[in-house]
Amino acid sequence: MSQQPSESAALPFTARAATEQLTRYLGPVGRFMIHKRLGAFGVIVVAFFLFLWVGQPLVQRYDPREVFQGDNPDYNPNATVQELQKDPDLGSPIVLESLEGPSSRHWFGTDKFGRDIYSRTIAGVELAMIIGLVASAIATGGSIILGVASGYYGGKFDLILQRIIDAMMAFPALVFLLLLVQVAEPSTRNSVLALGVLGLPTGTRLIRSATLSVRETEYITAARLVGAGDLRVMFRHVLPNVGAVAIISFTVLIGGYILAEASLSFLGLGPQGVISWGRMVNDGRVAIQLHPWESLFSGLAITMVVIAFNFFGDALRDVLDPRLRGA
Amino acid sequence: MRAYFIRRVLLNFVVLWIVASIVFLAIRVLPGDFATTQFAQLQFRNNTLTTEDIALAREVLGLNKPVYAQYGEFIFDLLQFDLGESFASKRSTWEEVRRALPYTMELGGLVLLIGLLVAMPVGVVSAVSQDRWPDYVLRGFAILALSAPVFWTASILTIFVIKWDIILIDVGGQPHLWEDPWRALQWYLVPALTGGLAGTATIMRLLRSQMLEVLREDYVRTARAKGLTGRVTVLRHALPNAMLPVLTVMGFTIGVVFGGQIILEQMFAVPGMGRLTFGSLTDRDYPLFQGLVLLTAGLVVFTNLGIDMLYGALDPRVRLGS
Repeated sequence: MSQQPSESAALPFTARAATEQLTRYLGPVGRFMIHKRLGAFGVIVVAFFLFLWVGQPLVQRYDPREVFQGDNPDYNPNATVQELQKDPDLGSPIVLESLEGPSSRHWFGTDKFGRDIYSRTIAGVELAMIIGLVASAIATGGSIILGVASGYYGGKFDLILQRIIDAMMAFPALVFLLLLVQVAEPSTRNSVLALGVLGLPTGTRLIRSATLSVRETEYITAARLVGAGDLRVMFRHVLPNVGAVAIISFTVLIGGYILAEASLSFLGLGPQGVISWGRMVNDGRVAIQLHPWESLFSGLAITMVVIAFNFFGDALRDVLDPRLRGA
Repeated sequence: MRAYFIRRVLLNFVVLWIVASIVFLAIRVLPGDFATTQFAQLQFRNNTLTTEDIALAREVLGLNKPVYAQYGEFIFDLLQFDLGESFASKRSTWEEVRRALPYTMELGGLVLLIGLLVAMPVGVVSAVSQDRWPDYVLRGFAILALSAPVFWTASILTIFVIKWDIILIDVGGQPHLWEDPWRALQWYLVPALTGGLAGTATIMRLLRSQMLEVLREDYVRTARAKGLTGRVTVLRHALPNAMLPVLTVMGFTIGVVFGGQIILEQMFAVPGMGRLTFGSLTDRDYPLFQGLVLLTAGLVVFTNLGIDMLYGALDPRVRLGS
């Protein structure tokens, strides 16, 4: 703005005027970014992690599964048996570069198998994003179907479904999740499904109550009077009006799901064969007093991505539905 | 009111029956049973075992009976409040709970206490200074506490606690608070702090939004108008009313606390309910797991009922017409 001296001379420059000017041009997204500072921070960090996910080849330094070895400075081909008993490493010309601290070669250090922690942390973005986004989509989609049907039809169907949901909610969440994930082999797909099911009870409750309030409005009665069928009313008239609640529930769930997967992996029950931050935190605990780097950086990654989604979800909720503020 | 109460109690039993059925079926769907998990462990220690041994163990444990017969027995026992007997320890579920519950109550109590002690001032200050910098800082702190995984904060905190010799690592087992308060507190220090911090976030955010609502009420304006100081208005008039929904949410957490903090108990070897539940699930100790989940679920549904009733008693606006 300072590049147009003639205009700023004519129009006294104030921060407020500039903000107003900007929001007029930027539209709803820009307004969100300016008025919801914490939310904007969340959006930026989420975008950063999305970039790390999509741009893996650009930011990745090494293969996350590569085991680093180096020449053994203490290598002694003529070591005696006594010396070897004292330090078995003497007999081998190469050693694992395990449990190294941060350096220019390994930014975050190496883990106990000599793998680069930076590369593993970056590779972990993929699982976190897939879990967060897909599980949340499954939970929200399922909740919409069950919640709208339950709220719209009411009656026996509603009564029975709500009791089943009561039962699911009476389970301690982690116990319920532990039961679900062990049913099939621990792959990414199965973990995503289990997490999705875990979110159904609360989501269904939320959508159902939104549906109940929509059902009583005049436009639903009007739609029915002109002869619209149940399905048409539900899809064309109820669904768009519970959309805000669904979007909120989708964004708010993402952070929680990333945390839940990390907890599962920490307990050793997360998806196998993929790099998971939760498991990295646990792996790093073996030598955490001497070498905190693996736990530190993977945990920091979890915290950052979850914070970002929570900030974003909170701000979006404030904008879309002020009644739910802080709920 | 009475009819409503009776209806709710009956519904709770229906819900518990559903919980019992889900947990009964779910744990049997999981691959492996107690016989195979135990034999796998023995096999690991190089004991050779035959399939006949496993079949014999199943017969002794009653696992070879058809599922509907097992279900019938389970429900029949339940009706007499018999929660079965652990496969592993041969003790009744009640006895196992009696041993584990005190630890969980101590840890859970400390977690709730720390959570509430931090959340009350933080929530009130945040609401009173809405949309100014203390509010932003405190809300940011709450979301940070909500987002950092407990197992991570606990791991990191442990580094410092050990480095600075705040706790002594000993293998003498976990003492109770009343037996050796100092050693028990040392043991609980990190799990209680991290658990409490995570709990703070939820309470604080709820308290803040409730305070914001209450502060806009007419009676708060009246209190201000008659010349009361800001402090008295906030603490005497607004806070008690804002606390009501907060207590409801705290009530929900009672069930969670009772069920134990699986991750924290697992990390710090606290022999409480969470560790017991996790162990019984991985061992496929069917009766113990079923019993523990049912007890927790029972506590959850009946505290919810209790809270609803209490709510009606405390707040005339939600009292049902009798």
